[in-house]
Amino acid sequence: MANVSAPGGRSGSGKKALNVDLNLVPFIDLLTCLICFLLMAAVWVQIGKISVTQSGQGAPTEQTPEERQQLNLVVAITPQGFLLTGNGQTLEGGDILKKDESYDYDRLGAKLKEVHGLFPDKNDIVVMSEDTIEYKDLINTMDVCLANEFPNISVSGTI
Amino acid sequence: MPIHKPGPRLMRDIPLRTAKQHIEKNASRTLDVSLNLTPMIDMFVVLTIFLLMTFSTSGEILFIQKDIELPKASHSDEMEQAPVVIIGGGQVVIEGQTVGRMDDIAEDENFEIPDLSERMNNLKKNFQQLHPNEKFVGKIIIQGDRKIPFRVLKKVMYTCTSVGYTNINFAVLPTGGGEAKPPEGAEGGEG
Repeated sequence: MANVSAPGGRSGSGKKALNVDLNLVPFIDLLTCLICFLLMAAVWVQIGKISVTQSGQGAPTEQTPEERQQLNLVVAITPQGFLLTGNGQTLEGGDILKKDESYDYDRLGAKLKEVHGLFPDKNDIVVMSEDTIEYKDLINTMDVCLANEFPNISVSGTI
Repeated sequence: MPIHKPGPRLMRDIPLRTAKQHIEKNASRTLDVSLNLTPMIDMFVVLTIFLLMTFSTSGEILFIQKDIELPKASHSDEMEQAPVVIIGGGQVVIEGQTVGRMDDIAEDENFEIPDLSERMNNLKKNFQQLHPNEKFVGKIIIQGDRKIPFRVLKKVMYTCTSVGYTNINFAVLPTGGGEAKPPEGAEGGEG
């Protein structure tokens, strides 16, 4: 038990010492219960999410002239690399081939940054993928899009 | 049963002089030991603070299975409660129920997975019955192994979208490179 002692009484007399025994048992009980609860409710692996929509869902809508002027940006993932297109045309330097058998995410990121600089209001992008592409490559590509301020990602499978 | 007069008692009727002497000799030594609880309380407090700091109010939404390795991403949002479709370990599972083998789904020419579609329809109906006043937002979590081919993933996505689960979320392991954003709009609940 915790013991607190202090000189008591009036100054000078020093007759009565103030010895108080702090009862720590309820405090320890409370802490033990709290630790048990927190250990049981603890989440040891943090998992995040990337939100997407499937491209082409819903009924087609009539496009306004402003919308027609907008850039329809598409990143296609192929076994050879990336192909960045705008309104169906391959952008300059948009053919990003694999480097040492792995996708060149740095170059894709730089190109997307450049496009975002030209179209600062644009925040949507379509990620197209071939059937053989692995899920991790798709996620890495979407991660690069998110990093370069394209949060509205649509996924499409048709190339 | 008859009551008898009690017999002789120790120390009162039988003096046990030697034992008494032995006790009296050691009487000056008290056996009062106080436990030092301070380090234990310190440790408890530190542990409580650590656990409170890592506490998540949303709880554990996904259970990572042994044969599924999630892809990593540096820019991800916080996970929210929603039905989970697991793709990995050679099969597609929704809410603990297997709806098909990955090889069969990959080879099938149809885009829609019938069993998955049926179960998702049931989930949608259940949600609408349980929450008649809430808008169905069609939120779904896809927990896929990092090596699954897009061929299978697109069929799962197509099935989800065709049923009405258009708000698709891919589960990823955050690497901590980007900022973690809080979930937008808590309304709508599971759906």
